[in-house]
Amino acid sequence: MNELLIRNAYVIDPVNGVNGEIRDITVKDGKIVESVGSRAVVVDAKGHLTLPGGIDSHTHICGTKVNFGRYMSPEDMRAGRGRAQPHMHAVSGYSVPTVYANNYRYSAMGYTTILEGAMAPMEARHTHEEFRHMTLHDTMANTLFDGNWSVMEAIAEGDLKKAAAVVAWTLSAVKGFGLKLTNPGGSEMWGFGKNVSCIHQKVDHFGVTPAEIIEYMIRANELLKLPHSVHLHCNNLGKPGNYKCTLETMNRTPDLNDKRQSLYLTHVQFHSYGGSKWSDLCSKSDDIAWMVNRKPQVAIDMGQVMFGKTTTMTADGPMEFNLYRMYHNKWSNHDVELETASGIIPVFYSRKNLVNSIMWAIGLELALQVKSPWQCMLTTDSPNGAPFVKYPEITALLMSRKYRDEELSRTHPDTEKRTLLHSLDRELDWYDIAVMTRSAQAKALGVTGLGKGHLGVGADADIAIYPVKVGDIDPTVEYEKVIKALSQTEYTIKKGLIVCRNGNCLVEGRNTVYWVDPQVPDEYRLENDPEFIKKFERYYSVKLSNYPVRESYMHENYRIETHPDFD
Amino acid sequence: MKLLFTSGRTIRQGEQLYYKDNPKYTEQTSLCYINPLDLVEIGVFDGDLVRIKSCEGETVFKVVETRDVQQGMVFIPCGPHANSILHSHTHGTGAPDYKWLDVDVVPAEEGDRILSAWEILESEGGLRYDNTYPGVLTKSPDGDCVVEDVTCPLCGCLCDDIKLTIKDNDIVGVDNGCALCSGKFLAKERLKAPIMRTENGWKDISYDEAIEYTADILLKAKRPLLFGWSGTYGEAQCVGVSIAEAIGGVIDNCSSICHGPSIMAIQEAGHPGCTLGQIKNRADLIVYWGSNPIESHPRHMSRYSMYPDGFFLKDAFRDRKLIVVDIRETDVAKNADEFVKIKPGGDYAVFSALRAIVRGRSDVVPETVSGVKKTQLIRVAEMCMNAKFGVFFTGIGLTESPGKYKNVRNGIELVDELSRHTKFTLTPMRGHWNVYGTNQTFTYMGGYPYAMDFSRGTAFYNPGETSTVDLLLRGEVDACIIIGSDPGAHLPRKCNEALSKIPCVVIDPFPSMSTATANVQIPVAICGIDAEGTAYRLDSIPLWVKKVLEPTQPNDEEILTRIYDIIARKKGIVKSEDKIKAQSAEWEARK
Repeated sequence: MNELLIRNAYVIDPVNGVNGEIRDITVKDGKIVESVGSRAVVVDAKGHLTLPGGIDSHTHICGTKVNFGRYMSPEDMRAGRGRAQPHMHAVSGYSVPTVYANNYRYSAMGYTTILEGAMAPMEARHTHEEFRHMTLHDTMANTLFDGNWSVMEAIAEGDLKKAAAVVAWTLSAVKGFGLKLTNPGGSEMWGFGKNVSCIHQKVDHFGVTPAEIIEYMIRANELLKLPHSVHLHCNNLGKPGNYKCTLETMNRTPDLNDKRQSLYLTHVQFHSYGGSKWSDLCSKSDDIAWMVNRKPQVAIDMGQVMFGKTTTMTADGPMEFNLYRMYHNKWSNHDVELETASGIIPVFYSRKNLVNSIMWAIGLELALQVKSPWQCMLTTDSPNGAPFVKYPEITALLMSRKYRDEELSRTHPDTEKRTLLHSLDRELDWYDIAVMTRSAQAKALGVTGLGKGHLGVGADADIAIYPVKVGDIDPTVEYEKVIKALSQTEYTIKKGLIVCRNGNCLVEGRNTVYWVDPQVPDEYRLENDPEFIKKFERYYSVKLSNYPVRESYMHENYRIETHPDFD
Repeated sequence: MKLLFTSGRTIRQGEQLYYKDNPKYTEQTSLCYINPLDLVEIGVFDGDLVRIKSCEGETVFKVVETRDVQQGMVFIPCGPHANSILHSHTHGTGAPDYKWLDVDVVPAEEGDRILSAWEILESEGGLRYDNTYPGVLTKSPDGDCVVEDVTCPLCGCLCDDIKLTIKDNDIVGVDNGCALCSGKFLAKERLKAPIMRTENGWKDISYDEAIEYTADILLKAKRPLLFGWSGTYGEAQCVGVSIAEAIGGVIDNCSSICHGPSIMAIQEAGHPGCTLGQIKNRADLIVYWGSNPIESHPRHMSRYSMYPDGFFLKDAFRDRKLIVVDIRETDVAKNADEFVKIKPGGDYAVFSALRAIVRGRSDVVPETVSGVKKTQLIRVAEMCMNAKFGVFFTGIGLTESPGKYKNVRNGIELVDELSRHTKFTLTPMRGHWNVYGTNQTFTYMGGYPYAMDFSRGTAFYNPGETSTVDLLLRGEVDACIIIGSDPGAHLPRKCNEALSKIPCVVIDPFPSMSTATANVQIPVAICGIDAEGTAYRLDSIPLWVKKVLEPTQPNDEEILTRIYDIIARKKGIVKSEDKIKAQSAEWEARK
């Protein structure tokens, strides 16, 4: 394989404490190495901003729910259409792009590793089928356990190891990466059209509370030594006054891991609402950020809302129905037996609407008030808050008070009364942004050691070179230049191969799916448990033998074996 | 006598799907079911022949007397006979009026006889092929074995509990499967080698010739159409989408003639649905609307709706109630707790009436709606609202009768209304085993579930314009690939006439009615027997369809990939491995 020498790169590599040094980066066989020979191909970075490849730790790109969003929205497909290019397929879709569109657009923005935020275990094969076409990205899938009957039964029995065994079996069977909880308990209740209120209401029939589900799953996750922590979409998403529920959930989180957080709370913007109804909705981002700042065991992502048209999609079925009753556009719902739920509706976030304006402000407030960028990652929960192509604009907003003020002045006139964005002076710098878009994600997902999110020797040669000289522009004023620079790399390099240049994707291949395979003792292996087998055959609508996604089904994949200590 | 024609599945017709060259198929598709009172008026008896005439033509059918069919209607099993008198206008929806055609039924004349399926296709410009290979086209170690948990590649139920007994390289036993399932697994008489139609009839050709021919007609065509796909697996469908993109063609699947209108409704109103296991564990009210699962999805009721154990139901069988809404008193209707017999074309009004009642406005509902008494409508609405978990299974009775997608939309809006009172869902009864899979793969690859037109360089979608029946009727198509479907049996006459006139390649393991309209047929391994791949059940659960015997013939994906490679080379599209090599070479050169 070729060697590559990137000369004259202005490197920010937070994991290795590098903040803006002009360096050469040397690559061999897809990895970063100490040095290369004289025959190496030379890429001149011309002193431009060079970062590890971007990592999205929470987005919706591949799977049943995402594809249903496309299927039901020809209007959205038409809004994002593009012709085939010499090395690129035709694309469709703006807020829910086709798989090739996701592939190219993320790559053009310098991203190289993507985590699908919610995969129903029973429909995992669909996610993996789409992953095959995400040719320019390493991928991984959060796997849903929020309404898993076997998990809830184990919790009702107080059996942590059994709960962990269910997680272990399922993750290996469906080739999942992380343990995801979406409105825990709520999806089971939605099976009969109900929901849970915050974390202390018992789930019908199973008799466990969301708080218990969260706590057991956090402990099970650490018992199984999974790379990532539990990934939680809190209860009560989008309800005025839900910040108390979020605060209590954070406050209850034990600190069980010294390498990373013990609980990752996703799209926290949607969970930071004060007030009691829509008419008195206000921001409680200060309280949420205060809690995050005193709890190293939690990390969050923003879930930033940006104005315009998008599609909301989540495993939180009851929430989507409530949202539909406000928008009354169109509503899809898809409950998955014994496991989870989901819903999809298209939305339009209007800057003239007070509620939408408050939502927009809250996301930014969170990022500006959480002190450590390692604890707050930049996301839109794409496409829920906005499609991921809005990331450069969000970055610019975080870097420029001037830009924020200008945008704020164009929102609903009452926004200032209900939010505190206007009082926040903080302007993030390039280093903060590098943390919030790649390094913090690598740490939170536990994949730094696998060579993700940094440019140290031995790391994967996933590199993004942006057409901007950091010293030449002032991001607090020249935010348009920031947006332009981050929207399209000069070079996106994936495992040592130049996959995208100035927005033109050049090649395919080099994509790997990461999944975990915890090795539990034989007596905890579910396939040896006659009770589990009996129940499975009786209540699932597929045979147990046809449920797992076999390794031979996968394209390139990387199995992360863990050795939990069950004694 | 003037009657209203409606066509649909029967299980006897379904059993013969892989034996279409056999007289038994003709026997089943040339029946017509008529109410005894109408028979009196026509002046014929059970077993007599009648001529049925429409705007499109006429043909001879054999009468079956039945009270299941309302007065004023004639029911015909779907197939070449029914379609030979059906017109091709879709009212901008892509789906023909399979369930709504004015016909004149008169006694047959002296000398009238039933035409065979082949004869019908020949009258549409085709040429029969009756030289099937009776031998076995798979290879496997001799001896006996039993393969369990096989997924059945027949209907949308995608049952995955089939047990196959294999003896000496031959499937000899099918357990757990229905009649349709056994029909497919036990089907022999495949096509041995690629064939080409010449002036002197059919001749065998090599795979290389067949593939070259296919690539060639696609490259030369101005408006190529790739139709079918629901009988093949996801991996092959993806290659199909890439071919369509490369040649700027139209790719369409069977949805466009069956549940396409359901998809259009979903695109307007959304789809409140769930997986089938959710229904079996929770539902205490099952509604089949315009759907006849006993004939079309024989194990649907026993596996997913009425008869399986349900976690939340103590006595699942007694605790569940069944409502059937149909224009015919089908066997499912006979077992229903409530049979709502509506006049043909009355579905939309009945949905609207139910919506009004659920909203507390029964005062606006007249005494009868589409032949249904208000008292019954109120009873049905109450059953729905009192259910803990209800489900509508909607069939093509809604999508192919007047109103089409608007019927389904009204059904979805009724579910929306009911969801404010209790839990309710809706699931279209998708027909082919992987027809939902075609929608899934087309959508993630190109953005649209069917009727996808790449002629502009981008994907474009407009059912009624870019759907198969409409394209063929307008005479736009100048080359066609048919795969995993049999339009010869299921498209209206004018479409088959159009296909007979243009270069047409069929990729299919069996000689089918479409063979008649083809210039070349390429036989392939069968997914589920000697090929394997991904399929999506009617509730979007993706399943692996496994292979139980080793093939001697290439599979769909291999054939399509070879076609794609030729097209890509001619069009200057470089394959990825070559691109990587090219990048390396460029680097080398720069040094």
